[in-house]
Amino acid sequence: MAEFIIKRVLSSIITLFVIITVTFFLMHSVPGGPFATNEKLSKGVIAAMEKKYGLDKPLFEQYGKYLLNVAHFDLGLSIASKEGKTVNDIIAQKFPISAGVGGLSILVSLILGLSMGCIAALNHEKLVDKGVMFISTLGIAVPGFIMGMLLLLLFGVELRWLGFIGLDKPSDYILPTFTLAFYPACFIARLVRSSLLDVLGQDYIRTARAKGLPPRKVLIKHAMRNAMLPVVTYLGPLLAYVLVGSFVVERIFSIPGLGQFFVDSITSRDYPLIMGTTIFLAALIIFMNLLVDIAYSIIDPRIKLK
Amino acid sequence: MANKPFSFQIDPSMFEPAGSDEKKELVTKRISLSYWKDAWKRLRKNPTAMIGLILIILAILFAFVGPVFIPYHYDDQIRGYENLRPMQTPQQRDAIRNALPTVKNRSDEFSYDFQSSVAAPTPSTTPKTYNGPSFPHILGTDSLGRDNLVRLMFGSQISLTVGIVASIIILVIGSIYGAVSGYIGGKLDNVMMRILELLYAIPDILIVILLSIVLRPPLQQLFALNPTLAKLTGIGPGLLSMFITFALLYWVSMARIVRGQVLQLKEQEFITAARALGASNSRIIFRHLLPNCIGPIIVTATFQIPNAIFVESFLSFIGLGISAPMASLGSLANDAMNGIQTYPYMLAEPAIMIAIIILAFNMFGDGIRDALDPRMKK
Repeated sequence: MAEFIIKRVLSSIITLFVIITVTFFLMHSVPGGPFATNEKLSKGVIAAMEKKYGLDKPLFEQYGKYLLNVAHFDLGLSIASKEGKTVNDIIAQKFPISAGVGGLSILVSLILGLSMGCIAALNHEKLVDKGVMFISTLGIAVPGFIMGMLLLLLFGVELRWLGFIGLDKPSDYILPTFTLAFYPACFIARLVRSSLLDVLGQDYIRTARAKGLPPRKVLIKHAMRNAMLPVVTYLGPLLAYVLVGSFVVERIFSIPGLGQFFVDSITSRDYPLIMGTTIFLAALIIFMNLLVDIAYSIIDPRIKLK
Repeated sequence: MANKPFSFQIDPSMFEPAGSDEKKELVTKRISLSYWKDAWKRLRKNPTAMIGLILIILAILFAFVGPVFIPYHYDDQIRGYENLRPMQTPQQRDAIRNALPTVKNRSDEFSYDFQSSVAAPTPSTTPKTYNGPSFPHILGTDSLGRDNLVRLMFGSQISLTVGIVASIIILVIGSIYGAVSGYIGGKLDNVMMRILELLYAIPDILIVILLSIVLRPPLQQLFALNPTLAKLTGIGPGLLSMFITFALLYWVSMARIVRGQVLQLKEQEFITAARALGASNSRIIFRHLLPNCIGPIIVTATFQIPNAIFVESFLSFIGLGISAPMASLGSLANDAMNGIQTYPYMLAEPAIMIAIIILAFNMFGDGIRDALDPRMKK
């Protein structure tokens, strides 16, 4: 067990290290550098700016310094922001907004997916099951952000029931949350349905029924616990999906979160910010995957720890 | 020999050699089905897959043949025909505008209207009429007077091309990588699989975004230096950078599946026989191993098409894909976001188109999977 955890932690650190390296060298291989696009700056100003951000030093020295800084959780200064904000500040300021929508949609997708999957499995081959399967097939096939646009057009523009600009009222959360939660909810529903169908056919469920347990107890205590396992493995990809999905969802619904800021920083060529945000998001995803793997090996002792 | 009643003696006539008529009866009446015919038979019986296939054919016709029937080009800007609603003529638009003096006040409450109401020309500045063909603008026009239908067709063209080319790239790289890794085995397999795991662990969209930022400037320079290159390939720097990203990142799942198949296949006798006859490694891989895992390869490649279309529209939507005046479905949707209150149909058109294309490929892919490789069905 301890060996497995150590191995997993090490491989996560290596992955993170590779991501930092790849990000760093990719961003520094862009010809011209971040100040080249601004034609108003004189050569002297550019030189001074490059000195300020340490861009005049040899590449490997910059790389070493950057690694050291990242190890201290310091992601550098943002170039585009006028007030000389650090990337850490920006992440600290913008991420909670994204995390609010993201966390809410993870919650919604879990609740929705679990209940849809359960209902479908309990009514196997009936009309309800077919309906749920139809919706979830549709939800998986159509990309989330397209679904978001269609939801916005229907409920925001045509019917005018829900707000879709910013996050001022609590009801403003509904559309972005559902946009982000729709795909994962459908995915979870299918996962739960197939694993619950599998579990319900097992001998220990028959035993539990035979000894006279009420059906609800059989479902919740015996069946669901085992049927939930695939959902736990999906938590890592779910987080990654929600983080990446926030890039478009925040643009669609004008939410001033980290996702929209990241997309903006791409257009403004704010390299430290692009690098910092990428590393931050990647680290978050890798960390979450690590936690899920460890949790999974604890929940399900049958899994061979390799 | 007389047949005695109540005897268990066996009738010897049952053991006479069969006549030619009898032999003919035993020959199978069914024509033997090849792998492909069998798969096609199964596919045809699957209604969802057939709906998907029909939708794909319609989408391809719409994208590649459709523009022939429309007299406009995707970057024709027709003065005086800006911001038309579907099937509207400029006269109708102006009549509605003049009849509603409150239009200006109404637009004040919507923050998004600002740009489009500024961009809309006042009637006095547009006396110049368009002398070209007077074909109706079935889906309306955008703020520059470009026909939405043609732009939608062109965007679908780009999206479909991206999907198909990307899946071919993935097919080639992934299957060769997987086959080599699985067939050679040993240390090489170990190293190649570690690389694969690493690529798998990296959040792909983040790297795709980074790559398309990084690849853009050098490719733009390359295309600016050699204008013939753009003409030869027919694609811009945006598309090329997207193809390179696919070539670098998205073959991972294909390689894994092919490797798994090859690991099973290489233990079988026909590979031993081929090796005993002195076939080289590359001959074994290309003539014996890869043709035998064609089913899973095609299934995986089919599912890569909608995936690639999704990634392309995602990137174009956040402003990283195709560069103007070209348009893909994603960039059309991105442009439409600015006028969503006044021109919601501008967003609905590309959004519905992407949804239909991706849905159709997914439906068809499911059918292909069931037909070619029933074991992969969950």
